[in-house]
Amino acid sequence: MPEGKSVLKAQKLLKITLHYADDRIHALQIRGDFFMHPEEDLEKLEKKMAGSVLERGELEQRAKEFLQTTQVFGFDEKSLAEAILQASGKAPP
Amino acid sequence: MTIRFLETGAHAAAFNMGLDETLMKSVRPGEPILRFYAWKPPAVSIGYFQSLEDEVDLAECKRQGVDVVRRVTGGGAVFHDAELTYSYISREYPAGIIDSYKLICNGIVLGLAKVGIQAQFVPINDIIAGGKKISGNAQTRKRGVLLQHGTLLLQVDVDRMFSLLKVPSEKMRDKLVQNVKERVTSVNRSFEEVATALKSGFQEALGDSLRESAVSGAEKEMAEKLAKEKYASKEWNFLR
Repeated sequence: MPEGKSVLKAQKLLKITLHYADDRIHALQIRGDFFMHPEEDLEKLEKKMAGSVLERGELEQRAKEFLQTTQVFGFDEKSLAEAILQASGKAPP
Repeated sequence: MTIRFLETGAHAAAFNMGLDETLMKSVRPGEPILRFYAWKPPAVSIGYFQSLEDEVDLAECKRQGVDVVRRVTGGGAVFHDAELTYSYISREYPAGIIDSYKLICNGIVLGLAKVGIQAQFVPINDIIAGGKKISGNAQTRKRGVLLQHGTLLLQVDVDRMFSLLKVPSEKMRDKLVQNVKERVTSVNRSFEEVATALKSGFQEALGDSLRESAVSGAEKEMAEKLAKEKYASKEWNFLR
């Protein structure tokens, strides 16, 4: 299964490790120097994004739904989607 | 309202983090805790969401005798050496996260003014003086208790800091070192002078008097247990 990585400077640094197949996210790890409240929700975000098609609209929509109930300082749905697309090679670094 | 004030000295990274978690459990309603401390040996702490192996040159830390620890708070990798570190722990705090950063960081801003340094809080979590970062801060909220801890740089050794962190390439290291030297500054005062100024600053910012206190035997025991079983453990530090 292909693996991709990206590092994006949003408001804070966002680092993605992506496992994907058939244009869909199988699993991903989100790392960086951002803040998230509550902190334990990171795993929920990773699970939320898994299964998404590697398409900007769906990625942003899933991230936006997550951000309605969890506060994040350092990235938003647009920068997360961009970082994921860069990791998959669908957007230039 | 009074603030329970603790000056807990210089300790290893795992104990410092263990004591922060302990004080989150022992803080009483209506009496926040303000703690000043230092790090011995020097240490690198990483944010809760960072990967230890991605961010830190563990072999170099070992070679230089520098501790390594994961924090419970987010944010980036920090090299703790010549600095005053504070923790503010409270059961009462503004609901808004940026509002609470601003309130607590104002203690540092007012304290720095007392040693002649004009500074300002810049959201999310920085304090800037003369256009350069002089303090970084990080916050968590768990079970109705807020912990905000942060650094006030007394002196900064950027070259040593970057010798301990991983960078994409040696060329990138030189560029990063130069960039940070231009963007970071320090107080260049003694720990004692800065501590006196900051005590006054926090009193003014929070509107409360400080009650000198000490870590209890039970708190010390719990902190040491947490240090050994959690903060010094591979399971915690290699969480990501």
